[in-house]
Amino acid sequence: MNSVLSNKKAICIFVIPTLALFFIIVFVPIVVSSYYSLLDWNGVGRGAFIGLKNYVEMFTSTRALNAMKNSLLFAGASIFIQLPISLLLALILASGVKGEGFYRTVYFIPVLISTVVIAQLWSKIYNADYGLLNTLLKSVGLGYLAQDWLGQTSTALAASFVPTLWQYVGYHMLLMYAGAKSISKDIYEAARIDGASSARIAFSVTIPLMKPILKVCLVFSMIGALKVFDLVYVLTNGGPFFTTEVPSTLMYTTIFDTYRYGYGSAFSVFIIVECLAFTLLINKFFKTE
Amino acid sequence: MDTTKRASGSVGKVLLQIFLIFVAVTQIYPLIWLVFFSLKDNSEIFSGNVAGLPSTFRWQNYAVALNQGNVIKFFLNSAFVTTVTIVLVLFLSSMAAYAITRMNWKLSKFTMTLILVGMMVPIHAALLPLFMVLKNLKLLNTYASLILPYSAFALPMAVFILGSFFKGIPLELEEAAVIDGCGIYRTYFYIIVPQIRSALATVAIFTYLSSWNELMFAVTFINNQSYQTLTVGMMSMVGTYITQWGVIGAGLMVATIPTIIIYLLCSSQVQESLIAGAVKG
Amino acid sequence: MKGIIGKTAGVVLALGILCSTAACSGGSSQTAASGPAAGSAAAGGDGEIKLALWDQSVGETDPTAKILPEVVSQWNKDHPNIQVERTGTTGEQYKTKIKTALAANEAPDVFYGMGGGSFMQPYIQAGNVLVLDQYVSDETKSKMRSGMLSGCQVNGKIYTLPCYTHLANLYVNTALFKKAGAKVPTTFDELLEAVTKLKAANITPAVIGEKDRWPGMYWFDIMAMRQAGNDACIAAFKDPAKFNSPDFIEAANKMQKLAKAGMFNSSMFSMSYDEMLAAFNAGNAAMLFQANWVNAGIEDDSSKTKGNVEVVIFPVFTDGKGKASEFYGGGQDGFYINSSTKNPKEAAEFLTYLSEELGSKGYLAGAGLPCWNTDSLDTSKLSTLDKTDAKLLDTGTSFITWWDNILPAESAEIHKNLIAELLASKITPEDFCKQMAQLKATELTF
Repeated sequence: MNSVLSNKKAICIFVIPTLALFFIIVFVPIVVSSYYSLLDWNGVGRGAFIGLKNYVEMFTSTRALNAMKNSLLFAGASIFIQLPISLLLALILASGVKGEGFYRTVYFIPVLISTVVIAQLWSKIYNADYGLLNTLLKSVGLGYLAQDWLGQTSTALAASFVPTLWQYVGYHMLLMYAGAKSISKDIYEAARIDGASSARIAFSVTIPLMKPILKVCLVFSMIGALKVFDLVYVLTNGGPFFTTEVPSTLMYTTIFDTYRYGYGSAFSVFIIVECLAFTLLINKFFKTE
Repeated sequence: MDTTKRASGSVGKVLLQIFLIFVAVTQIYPLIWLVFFSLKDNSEIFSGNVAGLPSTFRWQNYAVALNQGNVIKFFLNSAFVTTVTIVLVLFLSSMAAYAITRMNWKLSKFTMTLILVGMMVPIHAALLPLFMVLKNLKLLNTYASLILPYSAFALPMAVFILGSFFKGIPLELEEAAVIDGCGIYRTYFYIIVPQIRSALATVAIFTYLSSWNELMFAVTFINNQSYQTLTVGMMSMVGTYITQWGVIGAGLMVATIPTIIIYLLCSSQVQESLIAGAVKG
Repeated sequence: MKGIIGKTAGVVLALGILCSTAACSGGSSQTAASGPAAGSAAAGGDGEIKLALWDQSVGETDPTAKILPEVVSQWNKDHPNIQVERTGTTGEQYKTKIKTALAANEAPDVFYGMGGGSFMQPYIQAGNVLVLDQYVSDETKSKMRSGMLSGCQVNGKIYTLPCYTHLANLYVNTALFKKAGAKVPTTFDELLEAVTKLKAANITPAVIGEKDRWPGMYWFDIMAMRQAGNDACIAAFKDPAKFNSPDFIEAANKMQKLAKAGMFNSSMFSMSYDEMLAAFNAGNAAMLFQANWVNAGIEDDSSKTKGNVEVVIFPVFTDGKGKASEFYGGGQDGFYINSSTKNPKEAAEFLTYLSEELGSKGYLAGAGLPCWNTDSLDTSKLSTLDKTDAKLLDTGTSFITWWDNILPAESAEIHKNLIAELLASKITPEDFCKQMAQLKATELTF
């Protein structure tokens, strides 16, 4: 048995194609990007090697630090707003309400729709002149609340986060739902017989048993948040006045608008390292618990 | 199992249903919005009726969108690229995940971590280096220039999902197979793979989503119209029909419908697999 | 560049993972000559040359989008041995695509240069763009309007040929002005007066799509030119310290005054360029300061303002040094040739043909103002807006093109960001000019 599962040749045959593809397409670009990040390079011709200067600039520029702060806020919002909503929905559905299958299917739909469409939708929702949100507020007599959601510094950051949070609620819900469903029914029965309320069962039985899947969701939403690009880029392009800028949008402008390939690459290295660090942290946290 | 709950009064149940329906509406609304949008003309879109039903159903928007040059060709390209990507990802990731999670070798944990790093790469930064790699492999302007990157970037998630699934399969399965005299390959392909069919469906749909909707690579690596994908075609419609928003909506619908159909076909499989596999982390 | 890939390929190979598979071809292809021009390499039949052309003209209201395919197919018909293959990509994606391709030395034979200037400067300096001097005949030169070629030169060498040019002027919705009882402004005071009257009539005086930041830049730049005069502006491009002077401070001050008087739509910071045009064409604002590429949209049947729009020169400031004959615009918006093309001669031939055809046909279709002699053309079918613009072009004595094409890329970004802050009163005119003085000098010659 063990000899079969330790068959070196088989392991190679199983793993090497994946690793080969992965190395050429993912690993090589990371290495190349890391190298670029040490250059003062405009994207053509020869770059000058400047050591860690790009990183020094990154950690001293208020604009870059603000972008990092925003992405951490976003990660926080994902963890403390999005995931709890997903968890609540997952627990409700897993408890066997009427229409369970229907809701489960419908809640996942935003994940399916291309970002191009989602971006169009939300820009129409937020539009200051004819947008859905302002129209709605006016029609219920709250016209004084109508505002330029994406155009003012006070609301733009929150407004640009909402669409991404909204889009992936169903995604995490489905993962958590699966986790909740896989818990043995006997455990519930035992808790019920003890006379525990639904809320109590959720907190003292279901959630603790869902820890593995919660960890997965945490890692996924953390990485997603730190890498967030599409919707922020389309909805605000980092504006107004950099209030909604995140490292990935700043990286994109740095590379493609100001031709600073080296500096832009430093952001991508930062994002990778940041994601890795948080993933390890989450793993540690769950292990010691 | 929830007999106690049923007893706990119907008011609560009604409120719960109202809440769930409210959430459902917020989740499904974009699709409905897109359908409405695709049947309107500009004046309606700009004159405040952004949300509601169109006053007249302008099906001609779809006619314009479908007559747009090579929609069929773009569609077939997308279908081909996506299909090959899915097959490749399923094949590679299932083998890799199996070897990593169930076979005994020293570097298995490290390999897993390495592959997971792939999820953390911001693709816009990888654009130029990847372009260089593909150029040096002489793959630019081929289907492979999309299939390989799509597959590579879909692998981490796939290995992750399948890996956690494999962990849940009892070891006795292999033991029995080995006792029957099966080698590792036979065991894998005839005993193990059939066990994870629904997990493969999950991986397939995630891979489908990421490659069908991808834009940046498709724009940058392909210049030849005959390899262009549907997303690019539809995106260039957004740039083309600046004054006819309804047509853009119709184009986006054309690109979205296959996704919805595939999802509805696979959704029970996907959900089943997630529940059965219950990703163990 | 190649060294980097070479090194990385080396690392990968050293890891010993990729031995027999694709990576080897990746490693070995290092030695092969880097293939030029994505689409061009594929040769057709005997002696047939293929040229790849990239452009961003796909918009349905962009007249170039209609003419370009015609020009290309006419050329292909006339030159069976030199076949041109065109790839059109929309704006933002075109930018990413062409920059990546240029960086990787995979650019097509002929490509659109996004207004030239600082967009093309890094590539010209790096030698990625073909010098055209030996390919441009005197006959070709003689067909151009005077002064047009100089805009195509960098350090005395020709890199592009003119197609057409654009001027930014003030678009006025006369119906809305009439409704408000306002007079089309010719001075700054009249402009302020018009703003007051339009505001009183509950009409948004002007729209800016400041989410994209360059529409606001147009406003400031013309006001700086009106206040300080074109010569002072050019001097400041060469020595940005000169931006910190009373004239520029006054220009910034006037800009802020307009913003505070409620001249611009309150939603400007979330409005994109496209939405701005849609709003103006829908009659939601009385003024727009843009270049003549908006003409086609205004004249389109879908536009509610069709027939109600006049184009006038930007008001002159009585206390300013700028004159009415000084214009914002006039740059050459042309195509460039990849220096590693295999067929420079044929590419240059095509470029000449393309530029001249676009210059004349494009002018007639309203794509831009002519850079070539147009005396023989029948211009009777041009729209009123196009005709007015053409007349204005003739009255011009001095032209300065878009400042974000003049300033080096990073400085251009800062310039645009500063103007956004000025519009939002996040910065005083004095601080604005102090920061403008920190910009890098232009790399272009004047």
